[in-house]
Amino acid sequence: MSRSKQGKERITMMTRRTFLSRTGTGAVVVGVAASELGFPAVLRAQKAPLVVCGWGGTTTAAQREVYFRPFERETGIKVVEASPTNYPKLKAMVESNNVEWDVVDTADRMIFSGIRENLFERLDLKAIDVSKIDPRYVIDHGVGHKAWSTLLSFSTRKYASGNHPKSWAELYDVAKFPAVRSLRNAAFDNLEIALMADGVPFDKIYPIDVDRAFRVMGRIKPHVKVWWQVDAQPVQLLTDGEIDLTTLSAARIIALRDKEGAKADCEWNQGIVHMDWWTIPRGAKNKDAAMQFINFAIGAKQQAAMANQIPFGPTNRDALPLVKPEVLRNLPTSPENLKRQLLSDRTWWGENLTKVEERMKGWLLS
Amino acid sequence: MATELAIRAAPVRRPWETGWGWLLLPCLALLAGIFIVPLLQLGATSVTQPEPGWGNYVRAITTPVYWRVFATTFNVAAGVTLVCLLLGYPLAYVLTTARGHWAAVLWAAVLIPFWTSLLVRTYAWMVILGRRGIVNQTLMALGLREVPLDLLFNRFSVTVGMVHILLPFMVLCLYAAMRGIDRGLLLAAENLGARPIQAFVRIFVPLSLPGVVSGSLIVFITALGFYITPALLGGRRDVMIALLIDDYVSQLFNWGMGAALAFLLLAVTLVVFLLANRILGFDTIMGARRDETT
Amino acid sequence: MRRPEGPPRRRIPPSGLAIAFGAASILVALFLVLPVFVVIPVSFSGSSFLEFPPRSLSLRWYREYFNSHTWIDSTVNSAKVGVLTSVLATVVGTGAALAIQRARFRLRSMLTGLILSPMILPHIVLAISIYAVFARLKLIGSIWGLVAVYTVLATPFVYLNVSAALQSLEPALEQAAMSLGATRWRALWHVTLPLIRPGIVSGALLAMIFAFDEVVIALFISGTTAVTLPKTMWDGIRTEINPTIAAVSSFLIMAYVGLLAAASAVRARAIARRGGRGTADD
Repeated sequence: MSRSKQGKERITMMTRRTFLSRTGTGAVVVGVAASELGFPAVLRAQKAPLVVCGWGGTTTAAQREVYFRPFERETGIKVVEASPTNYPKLKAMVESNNVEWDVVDTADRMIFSGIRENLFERLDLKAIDVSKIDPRYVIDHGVGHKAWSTLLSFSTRKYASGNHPKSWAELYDVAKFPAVRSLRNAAFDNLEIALMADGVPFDKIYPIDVDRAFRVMGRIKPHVKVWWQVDAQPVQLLTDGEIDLTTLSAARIIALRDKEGAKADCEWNQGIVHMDWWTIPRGAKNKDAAMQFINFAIGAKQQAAMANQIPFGPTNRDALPLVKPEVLRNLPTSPENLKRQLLSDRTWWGENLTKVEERMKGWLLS
Repeated sequence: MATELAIRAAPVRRPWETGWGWLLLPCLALLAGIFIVPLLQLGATSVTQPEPGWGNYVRAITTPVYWRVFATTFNVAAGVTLVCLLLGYPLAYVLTTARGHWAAVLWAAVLIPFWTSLLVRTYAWMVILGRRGIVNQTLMALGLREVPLDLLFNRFSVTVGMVHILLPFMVLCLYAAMRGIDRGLLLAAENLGARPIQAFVRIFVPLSLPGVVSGSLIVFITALGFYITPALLGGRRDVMIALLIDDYVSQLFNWGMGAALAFLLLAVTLVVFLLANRILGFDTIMGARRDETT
Repeated sequence: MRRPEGPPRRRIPPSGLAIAFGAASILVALFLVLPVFVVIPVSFSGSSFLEFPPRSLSLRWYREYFNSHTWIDSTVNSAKVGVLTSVLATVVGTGAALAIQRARFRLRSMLTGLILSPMILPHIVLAISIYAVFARLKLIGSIWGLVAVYTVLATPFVYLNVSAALQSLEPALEQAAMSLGATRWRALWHVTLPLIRPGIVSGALLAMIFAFDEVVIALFISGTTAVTLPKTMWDGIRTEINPTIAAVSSFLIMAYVGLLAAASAVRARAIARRGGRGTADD
């Protein structure tokens, strides 16, 4: 048992090098929050650790560098990483009053069900400064912090010279673009894609005409080779050249394209923008530190640093100027890209997800 | 005369047959705590969420698509079991007779796959069976094909993936049973004039049946619960019931329906097991000591 | 345990059946090993995504594995859980097999069905149902919590293998021992168990492999303190398949093959020292 405890501590290595704090806003806000919460400096070393649950892999690695370690250095609160965010587990935790996680990086698909099932704490807006955050992404129970887009992605083995499909209508055009296609194994995003392929403009997409969407999807159904289950799948298949066209979250493909020369690329036109949220499970053991952390993580400097690592869109409007210009091109929320994309409507999905996904399951099986 | 018959008719309770029952206790205790209790809770969930009543079960039984999923599940599991049996039997047999380095190599082949994780194996199959994969590249290089074979994301790749995972299970079970077969019996038969094939079919195979049963049960039942491999390697129709259950729980946030489907799977499988037992007689193959006077 | 040597066997030319079986087993063995020829090269790839054939070679994923406390700790945890599960499942399963075979239970097949049921229930629903119970018992994030669940799930492997072995057992041997004065338990320990050893070992091995590979339940109840290898491997699956898993698998395979080779060499030397050709037991 002691070995695993050692392991836990080693996972959250605290480097106690003195560190000149670069962050202006972040440190001030954290300092203010800390003093407001009445933590005398002498007690810092004995604070309970904060458990942050994220998505794992490269995302958590980036968050570790940009959020967790700086947060530890500034507040003395150890951050323990947990992953991956798992809705049934969250629900089981909250319902059995044994909440292991203090902060959870939640997807927009989950947040509404979570709110409806009363799985989250209300955020204390005295502890968390949301004044600079895009108000569309501030709700009672969460703060949006990283935007990602579902984009039409293609293999550059097949489409090397810009002759790739540039819209969903073209993705659906099997005559003009014969290719091996792969779509998500769910209604999420696919309904909007179908409507856009059928010519529906952005402002008329929601509320979604589900019957029409399914009808349109029927056109592409026989031509889809792989209905992907897990986001890593299409990424891998695309880089392998096993599929030619698919939809997936841009960030990973962009990183692979730019840093490793993977033969894949994506098209920003008609992308669908989603948001991940910082939330606190109801009954979290370390609520105060959780609020402190969220306040820290949504700071402009932190969000910009995150975007520079992995091109997720920040929500703090002071963050964009701090992002490197070559990264700005790849952000879902850069002004250039934003105007070409559809914003996914989380309210509609919150109300209709289960009905529509169930219908999709049946549709896929028949 | 009557007393003789009476004596012979009465079941003889040999001393070593009493008291064995207590050995079952640890197993039952564990089952009760870790399986039965959660199972009851699951049952409660299936009739209370999202609304109280039998709604989930009614929906499950009256949706034709779910019947198809159940059928696919049992079909795939049966197919995989059969293939594992056909491929595993020769290998297990050779393992019982092989010596020295050959044995070591074969054993390595059987046990090495265990160390490759599921995700990595799945990726390997994509590399091997894909359009730009090893098989197709070889066939095209040899000029045997112009257009790549469609080997991935269909029932074939699902079967290959699942067989690869479950074959070592089958081999181990078969081997364990074959190991106990006295080769002297085969030798005796051959000395009495039987051809090797005759000796094999009429002596060895029947004696290996307990292993066939244990291996088949393990492979079949484990295969019923597979969903990751079919999800990653299969086509849109190759959906197994466990995936549906997982989707209901993880994506549709409907624990009640997931629980109901799980119970249905449990019920159907137990029925199939009991029926198969009645027809094929697992009991007699697997170890019911009937009352026989020796 | 060595089988008693009989009269020296005359050299029988292999029958057609033996040749067919030999060829078949070689092909099957190749099939089993095939993915390994993809996994090992991939583990040496320099890119941060799985790539075959790798464009550049690098040891970075091995470095990633050995330098990471998470990876090493999860491997150790998995090993612990695997061994403990194997031992417990073997004890429980063997007992159950003996009991059901010998005691006169009326509902024998139903009992067997009950013992096999944990294999049938999908892990996700079991995980959710167990979570609340384990949370109350403070077994989340505990090695023993995992072992307890895995034992129940792995017992059927042992049960079925031992049952099969018991069926092939010659009852006269045990009866003979007892008629010579041994108590039932001595006969069991010294006569029966050694004779069904292949069944027990098979079952134990399957139990260990099962515990070593299980993902879904680990995702739920391993917490942050009893993280197992499969759970770490599934990490980040939302964005990528981490190539470190190729390095982990390759390392485990190479370590295993190394062990086998060493054991084989030791055995060969032992046989040479004894001056014999060895039997199938060696």
